[in-house]
Amino acid sequence: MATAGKTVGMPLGERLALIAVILLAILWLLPLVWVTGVSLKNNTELVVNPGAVFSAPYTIQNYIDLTKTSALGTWFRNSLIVSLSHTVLVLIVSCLAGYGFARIEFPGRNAVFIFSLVGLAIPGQAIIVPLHSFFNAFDLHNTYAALIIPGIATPFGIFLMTAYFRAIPAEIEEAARLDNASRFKIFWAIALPLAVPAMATLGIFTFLGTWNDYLWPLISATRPEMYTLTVGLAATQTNIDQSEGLGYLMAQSVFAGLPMLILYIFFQKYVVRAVAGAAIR
Amino acid sequence: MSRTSQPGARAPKLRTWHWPELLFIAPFLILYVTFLLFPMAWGFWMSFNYYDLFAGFSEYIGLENYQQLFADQIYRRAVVNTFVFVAITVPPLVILGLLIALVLNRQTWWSAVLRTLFFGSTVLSVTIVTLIWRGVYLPQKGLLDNFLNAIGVGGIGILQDPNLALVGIAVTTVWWGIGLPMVLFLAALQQVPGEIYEAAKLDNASPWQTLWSITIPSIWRTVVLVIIIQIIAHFQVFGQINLMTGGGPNNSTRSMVQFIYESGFRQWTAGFASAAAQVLFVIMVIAAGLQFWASRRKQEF
Amino acid sequence: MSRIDLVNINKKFGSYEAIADLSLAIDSGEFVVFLGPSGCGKTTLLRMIAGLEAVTAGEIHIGDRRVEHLPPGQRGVAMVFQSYALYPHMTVAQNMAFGLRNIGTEKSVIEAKIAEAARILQLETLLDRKPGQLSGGQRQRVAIGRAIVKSPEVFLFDEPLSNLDAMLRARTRVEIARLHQTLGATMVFVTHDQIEAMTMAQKIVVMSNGKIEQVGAPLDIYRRPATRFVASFVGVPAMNFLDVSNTEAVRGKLHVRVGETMIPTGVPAAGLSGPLTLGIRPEALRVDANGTIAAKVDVVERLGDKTIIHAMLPGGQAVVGEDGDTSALTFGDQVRFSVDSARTHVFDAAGRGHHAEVAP
Repeated sequence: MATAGKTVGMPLGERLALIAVILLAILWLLPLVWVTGVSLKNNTELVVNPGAVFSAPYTIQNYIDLTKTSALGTWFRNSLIVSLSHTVLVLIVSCLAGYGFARIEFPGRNAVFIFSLVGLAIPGQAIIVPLHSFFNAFDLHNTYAALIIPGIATPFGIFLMTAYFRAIPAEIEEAARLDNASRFKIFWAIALPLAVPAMATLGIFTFLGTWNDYLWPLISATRPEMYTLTVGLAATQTNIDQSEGLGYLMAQSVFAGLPMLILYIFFQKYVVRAVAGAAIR
Repeated sequence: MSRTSQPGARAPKLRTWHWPELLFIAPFLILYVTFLLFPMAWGFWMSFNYYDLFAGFSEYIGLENYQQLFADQIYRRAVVNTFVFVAITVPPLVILGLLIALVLNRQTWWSAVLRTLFFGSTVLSVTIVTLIWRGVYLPQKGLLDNFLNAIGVGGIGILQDPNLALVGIAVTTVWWGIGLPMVLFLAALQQVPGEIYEAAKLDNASPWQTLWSITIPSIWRTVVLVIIIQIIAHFQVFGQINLMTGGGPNNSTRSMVQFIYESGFRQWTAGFASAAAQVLFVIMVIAAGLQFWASRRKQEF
Repeated sequence: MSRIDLVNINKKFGSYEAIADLSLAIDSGEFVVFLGPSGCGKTTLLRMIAGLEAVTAGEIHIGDRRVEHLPPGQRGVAMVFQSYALYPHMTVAQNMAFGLRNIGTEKSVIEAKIAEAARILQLETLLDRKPGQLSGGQRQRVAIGRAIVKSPEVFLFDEPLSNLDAMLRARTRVEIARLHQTLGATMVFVTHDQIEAMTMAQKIVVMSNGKIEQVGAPLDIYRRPATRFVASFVGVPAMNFLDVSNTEAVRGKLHVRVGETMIPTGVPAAGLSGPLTLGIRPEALRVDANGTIAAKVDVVERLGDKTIIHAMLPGGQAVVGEDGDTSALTFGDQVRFSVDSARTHVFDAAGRGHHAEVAP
């Protein structure tokens, strides 16, 4: 009742905008509902009558087949190993360097810092060709190392962490110096615990980016057992148009997308803050 | 007084930093130079060479790659496609993102649910998004053609149509990417102090006037920033296109990054691909400069 | 506890000279206050003693050791910061233990020291809280506790009371003074608040523009300010300064002409010449029907125990005087002040003070 009363009191323009957004929301939801529906249908039934998606009977046969035949498990594990290792390394490197730039007054610090930020302008796509040759020279393609190492030194991470460490009041670190703490002890016991929010931003942003990365693993991982989830899923959908197993394919996308969606719903606040914070910088 | 010091004796200075402390930035600098700056420079050098990745053969050829690139009909088409793609993707992302943010900027359970929904698609990887949308766009069997058949228009097989394929990819991209502009606008709207709206009410401003003379000017800096961020992001479009159409039909969806990918890793002509990458780099530097300029400007009212 | 000696200290920030050739001796167990306006170099001086700022030239001795090259942790000093600088992610107990753990103190000793400090500062019930859960006054006490547990030779305080409200500030002043009596440690306290300086210090060092203006006991500073700067900076309301147009010596004492009035002072006349300024504290300028100075009342401030009268001399100069607690004066009244010549000051052209009162 209260909501209805409020809606009546709303000006016309606002009411139209609200209706538009609700329609958009339905449009946004529809593909997801349809995909879930298809994934729960018998493949032969879909061939005969594509419109049967929105009516019973439903089956979970596609998901059972998935666990039996698919390499999704291997790819999922690869993605997890690559994304977690990459994220941890980015955090270590960025925190160390960010602290160094923020607090160690070595000569030429500003020049080195600016030199480090120049890389912000280099898009990953612009260096894939030489990067591929580089890893090729060391025969490192189709290894975890090749998937993990590029992008560990991220100017964005340096930028974010340096700004955050600079914002920590200098007096707190001075108190620690008077408390006989070494430089590394100050970093480890004082600065790092205080930088957890920035690390969460950088960590979530990096993890999402690596998990969803497509171009580099596509180039570097050419053997199916080294595929990440993104590349593996891409390989299965090459001839979707001729595929008889539409339900099976859609079950794959649901299966692969669900972990990320669940994580997102649980950590929504942090994910949104991380992504927005990273974009605004 | 001078219990421990001789007059004029030089005492060691209080050190403000020590050499070992440079180990804090050393790992970054080494990796940064090795895996970002060096490849960048090498790519620049490659672009002046004939460089066959497959055979590992290379020879200096000056500007030939660039001449060949600008004469290449497919590359020209890719450049046009990329600009068109940006032009039809960024406006709906910004306008719909702003509309959604304006409507959902309230503390109710349903707006929270809708925010979750609109941002949810953004966390999915490009492969999942394209898998979903290739299903939706599937000729006859897909959701879209099912719907078009049901209302009597008849299926169109949108990704198979050279005139519509890029639009189809753009729709997918908007569906995928609406979350970011929305949350950026929401963050900006929450920064606008509530007193301004109260003052506007006291000044008898209509909701429409409030929107145009208070809200939009207050978040204008974010609007500019979002536009630039979106332009930068979508200039680099690759995954959706490679997965949904592979650049086809008839090169109607091939983008600049896909062109780099294909010339580098399908034809293995690394020098040629590097030349194309340098062009992308220049465009990105200009865009990054714009972003830097926009983010440094003061909030204007 | 130790004495501190600063010898010819010089500090430059780039080309700006913050401290110029400053020497100072602080006795063992003494409570010294560096007093001065912001930017006078008092905090820089304190930070150089702490080792947070390097000296450009000069020597610092703490006890028998020359320390200006030693890092902060090795100087045997503890510091209480203006913002308290507590470690936000550690509990009160962890905050106090951090410095002791860093030098490898035994766990049982650490616990005993924390218990002792907590008892002295009444922090026993707060040991497991984090700084964010404490009030300003409690944080202040934790910051002091963190200094106490280290049993330092020297305590350094950098304006530690400026973030407290007036009531708490008055109470903490007393607590710190009591702490000094209990511990008997050497304490150096930086402030721009002259009340803090007057109430706590055994010795005040008044600073201005990187130089020491005067070193002395609080009453000495108040009664015999060495310079016009010290006279104007110490005392509320501030001392009145009146331009002297003419002087004469009467029985060895200086009488000065201010406007149309001849005012007798207790200042010895010998050797005083050139342009002079008469200094009278408000409490030495009392409302008196038979007084020598006529003025017109401008603003009346009733403080309860006394009344502060802001008035205007015929020449247009503002003066501040005192009246009794039940003063009937209001805006626009004509008033006369008498001068307590035993408490007058005369400042010469160089700003040096000459006083009616003799040194104790």
